[in-house]
Amino acid sequence: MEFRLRLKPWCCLVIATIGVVQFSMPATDRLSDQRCPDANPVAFVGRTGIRSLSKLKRAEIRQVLGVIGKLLVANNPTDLEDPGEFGDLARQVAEVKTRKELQALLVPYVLLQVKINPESRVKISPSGSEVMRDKVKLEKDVANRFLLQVDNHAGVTSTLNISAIDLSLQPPQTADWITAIVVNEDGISSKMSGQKIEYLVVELLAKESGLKEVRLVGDAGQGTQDLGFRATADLLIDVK
Amino acid sequence: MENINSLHLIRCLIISLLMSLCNHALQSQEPGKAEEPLAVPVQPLLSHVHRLSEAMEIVGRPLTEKAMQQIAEIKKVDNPGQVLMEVQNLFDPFCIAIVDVAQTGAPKVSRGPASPKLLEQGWRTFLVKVINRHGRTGRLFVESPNAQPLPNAPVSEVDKRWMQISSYDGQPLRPNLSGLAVEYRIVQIFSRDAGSKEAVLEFTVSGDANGDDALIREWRFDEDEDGWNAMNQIKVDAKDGSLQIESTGDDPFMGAEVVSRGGGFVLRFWAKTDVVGIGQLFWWTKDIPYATGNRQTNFILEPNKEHLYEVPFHVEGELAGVRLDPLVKPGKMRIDWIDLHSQQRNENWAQLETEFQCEASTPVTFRVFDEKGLPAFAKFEVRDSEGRIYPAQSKRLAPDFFFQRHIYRGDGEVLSLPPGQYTITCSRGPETLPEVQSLTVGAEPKELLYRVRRWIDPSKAGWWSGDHHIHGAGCLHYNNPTEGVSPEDMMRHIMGEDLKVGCSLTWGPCFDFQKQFFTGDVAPESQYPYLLRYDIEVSGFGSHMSGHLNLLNLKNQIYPGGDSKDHWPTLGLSTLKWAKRQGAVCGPAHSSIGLTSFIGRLPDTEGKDGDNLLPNFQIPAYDGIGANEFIVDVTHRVPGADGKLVSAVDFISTMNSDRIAEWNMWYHVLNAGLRVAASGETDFPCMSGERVGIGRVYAHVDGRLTFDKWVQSIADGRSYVSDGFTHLIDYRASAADGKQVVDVGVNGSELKLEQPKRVRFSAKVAALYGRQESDSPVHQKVELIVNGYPVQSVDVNCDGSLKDVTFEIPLVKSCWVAVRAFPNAHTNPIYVVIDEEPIIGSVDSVRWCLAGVEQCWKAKEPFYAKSELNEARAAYRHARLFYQRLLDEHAR
Ligand SMILES: [Zn+2]
Ligand SMILES: [Zn+2]
Repeated sequence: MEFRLRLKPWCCLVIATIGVVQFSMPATDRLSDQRCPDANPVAFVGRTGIRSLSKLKRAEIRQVLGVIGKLLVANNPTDLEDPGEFGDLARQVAEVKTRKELQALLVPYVLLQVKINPESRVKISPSGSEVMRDKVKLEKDVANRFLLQVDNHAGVTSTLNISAIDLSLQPPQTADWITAIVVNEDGISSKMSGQKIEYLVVELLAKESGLKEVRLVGDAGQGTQDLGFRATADLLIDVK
Repeated sequence: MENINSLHLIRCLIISLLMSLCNHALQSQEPGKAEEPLAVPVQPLLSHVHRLSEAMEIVGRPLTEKAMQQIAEIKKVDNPGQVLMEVQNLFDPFCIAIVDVAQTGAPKVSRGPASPKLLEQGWRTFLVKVINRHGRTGRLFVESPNAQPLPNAPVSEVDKRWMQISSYDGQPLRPNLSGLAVEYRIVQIFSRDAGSKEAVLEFTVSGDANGDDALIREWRFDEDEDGWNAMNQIKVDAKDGSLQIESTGDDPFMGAEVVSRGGGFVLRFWAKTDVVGIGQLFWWTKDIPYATGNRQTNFILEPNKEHLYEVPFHVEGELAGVRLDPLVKPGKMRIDWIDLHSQQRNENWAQLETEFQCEASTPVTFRVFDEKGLPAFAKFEVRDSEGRIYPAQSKRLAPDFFFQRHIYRGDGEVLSLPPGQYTITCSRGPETLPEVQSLTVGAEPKELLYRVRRWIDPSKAGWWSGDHHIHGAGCLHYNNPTEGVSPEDMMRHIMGEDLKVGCSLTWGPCFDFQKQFFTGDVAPESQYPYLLRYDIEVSGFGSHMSGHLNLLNLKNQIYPGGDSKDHWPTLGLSTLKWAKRQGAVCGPAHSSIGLTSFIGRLPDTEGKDGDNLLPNFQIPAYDGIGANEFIVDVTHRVPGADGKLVSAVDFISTMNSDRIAEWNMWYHVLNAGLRVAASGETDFPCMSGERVGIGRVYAHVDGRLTFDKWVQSIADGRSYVSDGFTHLIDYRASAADGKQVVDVGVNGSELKLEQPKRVRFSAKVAALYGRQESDSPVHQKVELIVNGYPVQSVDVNCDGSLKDVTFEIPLVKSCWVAVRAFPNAHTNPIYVVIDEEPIIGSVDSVRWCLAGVEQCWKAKEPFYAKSELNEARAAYRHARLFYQRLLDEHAR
């Protein structure tokens, strides 16, 4: 399965306006007073409803649904009636019973796993996903969104930053052909909540095509000095 | 496997597209392959080259400066063909083998140009060049029958099994091949013997499209034990994504069912243990469904490090299950993952016969003497003429750490080195002058003599160095549940850095193991004047979310109500109350964490930021684990050991995190009239694994050094914080008429004046920087700080000499005054009280603190346990009232 999200520049306005609606709403409780149900990707889940969950908090599911919504919005802003893959995913997420199931469902969408140790040191690694392992496929000049799976053992609530370094430059420096940002907009924060496990959204935007490598570096607001390259993940990127 | 095939197809298409786009295709360097051009896109190739150079550094086989310059030059080249050629010219000479990966089946393997020299009882690092025309992205496995385990080997095999081989696939390398047409991998080879030895190296690439080395079963432990069951004398638990194994006897074992047709297999697992010895693998089959003594193999445990265990075995009949006896004695092991591969050596493995020359090594004895001529410990970085580090960095055992280039050795200790020319950098902490020695090692045993030369010795004037925050477990090198290192190991590092006092703090990881070293006194391993004491950092448990706490000089290390760490309160103040009641000395750790992102600026403070943003009036987000709840706790007074009220917080930690944020917090609370000392820490090996004592505190002690006196000086602020290269000794204040003199940290550091007066502040200052970089003198600005702002300064030549620095200023109002050498050192303050007026350094600081209490509550409330919320609210209310009262009084 190939996974790619597209955000065309002209769509930004549309998304900015619907973003507010999307996240002002708890997933099930307030469907009736939505202002703009059609623009709301989470509505698909709403109609199904979140099953009563024994092991997982509803809040956790909501956070994940919100995050999927962000992927969906970026993916297909013109046709929110038919969220396709993401609608299915959202429905499946709403029905998971355990955290293991939830994580398994999301694996194909995870670009990086982020671990914050109790001393608040950040470790990032490429996700275990087959799709991402060999190379990450992007489309040129299109904002591509992925998930970050965050395991937060320090409970820090700082902003998570991801920066993109080009090692082929001398000396290695911020890449000029790709940007990586942890998405911070209405309804989705680049700040961690302090919960043990949560998902954030990262957006990659490549300005040149070809097969390239990027070093992504994570930090949680206290620098990245680290001898073991724990806070770095080197990814091959295939930009079409 | 259809998906994989189509992925392969896509990959092939991409690569052929790239190749056709690239007009600069280059002829392969391999003989006989001249007809096939190799092309590699430049950007990922150069990135790979960069990572390779980083990885070679990590394994202790760093590239020479010249080679690094060559890489820099190659990065400027435009022509992709030329880039590839130059990369090959640079790295091919390191290659022991060249592996040409086939689309399916075994790769073609030939000898590389590297000289096949090994080292008796030591590791050598080589590269393997991978030519990968088909863009395969499996893993390259390099093995050898000569590296099979020795225990229980047939007598006839013992001589053949003379080597160990291991691939370095860790960060910053990726475990899998990139799919680029050319790349390099790292392998390391150990030789048991000296002399000429033969070996067969075997190569394969996993993930063959023909379903080659078929992964039979992967076990992963993210959620549960994934089918592994405890069978005998063993506890097996899935935790933190790993299988945590605890053996309770001499014959522990666990098993898992797995079905496959018979033949050759290899069980690979990534594990870490602190146990020395061997492990065993048994298997059973459908027809004989239990383990039997004739169906087992052994492997050697690699203690104290992460290790890829690869255990080959051969099954007659149909495999039905495997049994792992990971340890043969009580102990622990962590296994991150287990894979079972079938081994079809005949089809998909290529063999390369190689003859190695194994150099004999010669013992080199370190003779180390301190400046008085007494035997000592020191730090040594040992490199040969090719820049290789000894002992092999990535293969080190405690007390040598794989993430440090240097080692610590004491007088009389021995290191074995092969004959050759060495450059040895000797030093003993920042107070000494490093010395580079050349050593020629021949066949005869040799001695290396190092006499420590100092440029300064503050202890002669009674200023004793220390680091109040180092760890014997957790973080950079010791992962759960290995137990961390011993007090002896910590002592070696402390003495080798000439750090007089080290506080080894037990914290989350390995808590229940490390807690045994706590004695309520200095550790018995201490060797005067080097003192080691075990205490606690509240980190990874209890109130850690509101800011980690260093608790020093505890009498009891565990909070009442349990014997471990999971029952501790979530409100930091509760922990502090308990610690202070027993006379402990306490303060927040790595202070700047949570103080470096901001929610906005305190209103009406524009233009009030000082030099270097000290102080500044940005309101931090309080979103981390540094001095966060500190802003609340510092306003509290709690019963001390004798029941009398004392400050809940004695010190704020500095010197190891963002200097501005650390010192800014400190300045603001001082400006609110609170008297809190600064201390210096490293948080080794979390904030840094380079060495202990990067961040230091020099505390003044009368007479003989004892831990009690030293830690009391930390609490009293009878100290300066420093990186060890700048010293601010004997800071004192005297009224200009000479009648009153106050030494920092003595009698409350308070200079009482009845009326405004001129006051003289003096210190002996020395700094040593920039010796290597330039001949021209480097200067350090030394400033007199009053209420957080510099009022006078002098430039001091960083030549290491001790200079008297004196400032004299008129003071009209109560204030705190300190000497600062930004960002390298700072004295604690002297409090000048004029006409008994309290010190309010700045009303804006008080407002900043109040805003901090509000923000901290917002950030931390969710992390306080429900049962403690009322207490937490009360603690914050107290702080709010404290700062508000100051504001009200000032308004009046
Ligand atoms: Zn800490
Ligand atoms: Zn620590």
